[in-house]
Amino acid sequence: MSVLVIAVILTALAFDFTNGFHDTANAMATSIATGALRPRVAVLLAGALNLIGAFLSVQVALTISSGLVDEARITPQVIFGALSGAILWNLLTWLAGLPSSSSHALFGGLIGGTWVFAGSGAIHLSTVVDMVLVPLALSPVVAGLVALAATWIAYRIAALGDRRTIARGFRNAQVVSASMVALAHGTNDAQKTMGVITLTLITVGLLPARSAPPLWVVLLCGAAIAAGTAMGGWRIIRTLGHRISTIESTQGFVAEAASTAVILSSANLGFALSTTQVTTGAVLGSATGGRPGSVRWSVAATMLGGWLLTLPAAAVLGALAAWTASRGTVGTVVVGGTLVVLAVLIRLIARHRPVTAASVNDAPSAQPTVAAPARAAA
Amino acid sequence: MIHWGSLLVVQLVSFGATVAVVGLIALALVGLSARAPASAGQRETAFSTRSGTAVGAICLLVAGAIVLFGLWEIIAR
Repeated sequence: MSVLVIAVILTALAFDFTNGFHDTANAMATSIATGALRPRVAVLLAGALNLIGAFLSVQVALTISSGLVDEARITPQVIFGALSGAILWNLLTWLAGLPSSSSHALFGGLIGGTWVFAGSGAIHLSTVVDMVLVPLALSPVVAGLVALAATWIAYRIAALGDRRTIARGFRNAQVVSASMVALAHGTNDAQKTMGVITLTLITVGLLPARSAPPLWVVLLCGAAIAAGTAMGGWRIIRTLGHRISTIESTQGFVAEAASTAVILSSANLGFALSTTQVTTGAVLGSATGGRPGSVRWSVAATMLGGWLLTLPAAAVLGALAAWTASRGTVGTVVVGGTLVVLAVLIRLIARHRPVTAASVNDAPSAQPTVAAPARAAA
Repeated sequence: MIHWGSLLVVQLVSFGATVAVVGLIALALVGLSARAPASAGQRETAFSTRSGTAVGAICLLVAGAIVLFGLWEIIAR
């Protein structure tokens, strides 16, 4: 195995790590916001379940390693550039507290890098549209509608019971539902990096075409995403847990249940959807189903803008990095060095406005809410 | 070609599983509410303590079974 391949694998694991802390919010934001779980406990639990989830399925990894681009026409340098672009975009959106899609960033980087290196003919556009873009566009809408309907039903049924029991029950149930989202996230997102590493091994002939990821790849990817998740992406947790709406335990449980159902059923069929968009869609749906007036649509619109920008922005960054890296060893070193410098810079900027486990719930709520069962025991 | 059939399956499974699990958990909590002492201004639940506990336990078991079945479907593949 060459130094370059090892560098690509390490970069892929670095992306997986950023994917983990960028997406911790998906599983745990509402549970932390409602007080169902303490912030530190939540992220550690999410990390452990992401690791377990990574071993559940390889369908999505197969979609990425065998379908998006022509593996015979790209090189490890292209994949290195694509990953660098995706990491940079993940760090920038984390700094902004924007729950954008790590998956979009990865696919955008890969598509952009392949495009500049081998031309548009090396991209399997039909697979990109069928297995990635259409599910990516539909999944947040489906999750939102499912959560909306389920929230409406939950409140109607819960109105028949004792408020304190209902509130305590849903808060306890949130521990389970948040754990399920973390498991689903590990299943879906760890596979994307598995797919990229497998793709790299195929391009250099270390694995035959259409291979499933080897066990050591699964293990490394599971460990990287688990470590990133356990770090806690507090900025995005605050956005998802507090800035969209005031989430109550009933809504949090429904959002997490809907997210789990959409992510797991999609992963089972090989659809590489964005867990971030699914969970955000579900949070919006459950917030609307509980009390539409409490939703901050301006925040939701900002997120939508970020979603629309992620794929093309990561594609441009990936294309630039892949073009530079494919110039030779010097180009690859320049891309790697630039990435490290920018990552350190972003980290330093973030330290001026820190969001930590202790301050993640300090953000002001959207509007005071009254209606729900959870309020009685709060 | 877009796999509309598979996408429809995802939507139906997601909707069915979520509504079923959420509905069952909510119903379980309503059942278990019968065990709680009545508080001021709170209407009584539809269940006696014994029937409420039974309904709660059954609903929780069925909800758990749905979740485990879903996980089994994924792992078995």
